[in-house]
Amino acid sequence: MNTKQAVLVVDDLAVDIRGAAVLGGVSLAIHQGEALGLVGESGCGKSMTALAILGLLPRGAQMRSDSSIRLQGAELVGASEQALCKVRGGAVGLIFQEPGACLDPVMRVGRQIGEALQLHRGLRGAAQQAVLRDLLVEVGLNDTDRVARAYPHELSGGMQQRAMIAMALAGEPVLLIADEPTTALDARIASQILDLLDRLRRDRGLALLLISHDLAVIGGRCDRVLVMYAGRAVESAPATQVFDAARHPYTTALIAASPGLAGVTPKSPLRDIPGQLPAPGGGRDGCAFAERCTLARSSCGHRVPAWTPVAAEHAVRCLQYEEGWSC
Amino acid sequence: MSASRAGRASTAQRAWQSAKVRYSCLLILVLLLITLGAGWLSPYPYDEIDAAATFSAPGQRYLIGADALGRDVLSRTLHGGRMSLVVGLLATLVAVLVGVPLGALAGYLGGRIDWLISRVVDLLLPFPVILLAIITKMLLGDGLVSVVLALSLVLTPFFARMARAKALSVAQLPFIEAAQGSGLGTGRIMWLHVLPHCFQPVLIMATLSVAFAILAEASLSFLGLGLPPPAPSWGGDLQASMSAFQLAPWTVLAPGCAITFAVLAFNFLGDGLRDVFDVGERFL
Amino acid sequence: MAHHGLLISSGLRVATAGGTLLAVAAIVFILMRFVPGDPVLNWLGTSYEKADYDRLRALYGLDLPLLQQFMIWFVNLLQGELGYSVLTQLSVSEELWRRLPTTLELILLALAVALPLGIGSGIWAAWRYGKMADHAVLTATLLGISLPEFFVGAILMLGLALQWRIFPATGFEPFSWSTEHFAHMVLPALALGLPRAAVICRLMRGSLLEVFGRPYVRASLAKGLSRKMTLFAHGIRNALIPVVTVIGLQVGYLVAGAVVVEKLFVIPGVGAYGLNAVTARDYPSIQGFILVVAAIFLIANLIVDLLYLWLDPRIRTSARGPSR
Repeated sequence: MNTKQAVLVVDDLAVDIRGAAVLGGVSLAIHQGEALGLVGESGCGKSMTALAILGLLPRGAQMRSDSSIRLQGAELVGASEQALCKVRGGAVGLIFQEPGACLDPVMRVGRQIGEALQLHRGLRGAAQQAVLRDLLVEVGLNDTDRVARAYPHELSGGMQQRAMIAMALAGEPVLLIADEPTTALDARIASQILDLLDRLRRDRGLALLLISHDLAVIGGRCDRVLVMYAGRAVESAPATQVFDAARHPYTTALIAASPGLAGVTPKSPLRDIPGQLPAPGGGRDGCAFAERCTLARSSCGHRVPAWTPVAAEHAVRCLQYEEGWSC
Repeated sequence: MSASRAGRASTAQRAWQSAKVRYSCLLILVLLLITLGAGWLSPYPYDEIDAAATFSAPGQRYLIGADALGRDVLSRTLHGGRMSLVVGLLATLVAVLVGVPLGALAGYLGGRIDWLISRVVDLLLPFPVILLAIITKMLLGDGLVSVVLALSLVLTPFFARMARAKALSVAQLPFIEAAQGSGLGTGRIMWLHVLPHCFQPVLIMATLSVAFAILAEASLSFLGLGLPPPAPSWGGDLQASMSAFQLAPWTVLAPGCAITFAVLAFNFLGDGLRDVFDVGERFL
Repeated sequence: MAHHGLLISSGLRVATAGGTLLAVAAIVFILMRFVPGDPVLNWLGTSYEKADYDRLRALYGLDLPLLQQFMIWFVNLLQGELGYSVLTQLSVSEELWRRLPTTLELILLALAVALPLGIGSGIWAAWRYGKMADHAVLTATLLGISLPEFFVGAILMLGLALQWRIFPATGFEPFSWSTEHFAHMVLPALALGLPRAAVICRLMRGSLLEVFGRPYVRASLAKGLSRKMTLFAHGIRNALIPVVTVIGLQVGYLVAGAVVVEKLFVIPGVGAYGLNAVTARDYPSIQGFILVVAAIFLIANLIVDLLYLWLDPRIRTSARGPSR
């Protein structure tokens, strides 16, 4: 067990939208300085998890009352809006997929970062400017004057994302949540941004929740990986074990379908996963992956598998391990 | 996207789901019945003058009172609707038939044709209806044609601009290239692929156009720039009654409320349709 | 660099507006010449002397070739000379110039009613989306956009002036910073401004609702700003941008409405002048009137365009106008 303190503990997080379950009991824990990768197809609920942690659910979405989200011991579920506002952009920073769209197009970038500095650290005027410059340099935007005075559309995609990271750092967070931070960026820039996140994690001792549908992104950068499918977590393992010794059928399929992983050569065909993600709330009594799973048995459609440990710090939701199938 | 007859049927079904749409269609139906049936519903002929009954208050004999010439206000109001409705529908029809193809062509073909059409549209767009009505009245004299023309000139640019935007968005799609490659002429491509995409926004804009046209026609009649006197019209009646306002407010209130009712019905329909189809285009 | 772009864009807009005005003037001139019937005959009536006929034709230069007429007229136009009214024998430009402030004041007062009311209620309705307040505003504005200006004016007149005698019904007091003057302007300004307020309210509401769905609003909340702070810091300014462009169009409707209101409340403005000219077929006056109206809304649109440039930094770098 990791002896470092747990920064974020999520227990049984469940979210419904208009009665249909979009998140069905997700649990995770991130420790100080640790990077947890959250991976899964589009629509599996990864982004929803991130938003739920900060209480930023869209209209019509309801968190179930038995969910628990504890940040450094303090319970966030049921907390007042005021308390949540302190956490957002403060103890927890959040960066999104399309940085350009996430910046106010008619406000200068420096001022937008300044907003966070004023809000969370009460900095104004010259003091704010000084810290702003430091932040910009820290994220690799060295031409601080130009960037601070620029409007978002005047910056490149990579620079916009760096600016967003600076904004997230303004509140001196202990946890940084990055929701698909590189999906909209060029491969080269994406790699730079991920390196930046790595560096920040080491320098500041940040915990990082990295969300992506791309296993290659999660691959070398995270300590632990949580695989999600249709609103539930199905496998939780240290990063090394996930790629070498994945246990859940979905995880293995995901790896097989990812170019650049698991020894897939340019000539070999990519193995697609047949079928589609089920729609939320589709009367699920059993494992959501059952209909697409090559190993599924009849019992898979009746029971949601419970977490079954299969190795050190490695657990899986799959009946074949829970019931101990022999093959 | 409704790109077929079946698509259009389901559009109608979806539209009917909305309560707003249902109620407003009911209102419009009432409106149509009243105006078309004005002849049967009116207790008196609208031009029957009775000097003795001048400015009679609303009562048993004249349900909404009588005007300056002793004419029954109710009958006049019922008949006034005809002209307003005809003008409104005609002007909208012309604007759609001229504006949509022009705009779609401009968006689809691009280049110099687009530039030319866009310049003309931009020029016409901000012109107030009054100016155009004055000009058409000068050129074509009084009458239905001049009023309809003026209103159409005001409305056409809006349809053209919207159709152009839709055509631009569709022209990028790969199946258009495929259609072009298979030898289909511009006309057929426009008819089969481009125009159907305009259907929903055109429908919304058309309902709002009718509302606008009825309102504008009433204003023009009020100013004396609309349809000539003998024809009963809401705006004209209002204008004629303004001087006797204090004496006989019903002569002003009746046509005013009638106009408001008609315009409201169409605006309500446009609102309901916009809710259903969620088109972002802000028209008026 | 950014300021350079701003100057060039502004300059282009001004030039375009000026060019359009000249084009309008030319079109008006041509159209006037195409009006059926002989204008001089109209003015003279049924019995006239041939000598008078010839004199009038010569006076108005109607016996010259068309191109020469145009040149004379154009040169006069550039000097601000718009000819003389057939009806009153007074200078058209002088008369219009005298009446212009009244109409402009009416329009500005109407805007002073419409803008705060419309934008304010639009924001409020969007903030309370789906609740009673929102429905109430939607219903009220539906009525507001369906009421003709003259009816609003008539009802106001009936209620506040004739029934309860709070404001004078018609008439006009020359401009002064006094209650007499403004008392006469209140009802006309309301009649003109309230329907516009309804339109602007809907626009603002729609625009703000759209902005609420944008990623940067979610990002602002994720930054820790409260909903209210997000509204004021990021929401309103972005929502105003598309509304501002449409307000330029609204000025056109305002000018048209001013004509109506001036007639209803008997206010001696440009609109009343134009209306009389049309009824009397007083062509020089009609031409002048059309030009002045065109100038007003071209200038208004120009102001709006420039405002838009200032509000939205994204288009400052491109010289072309916003696609409205």
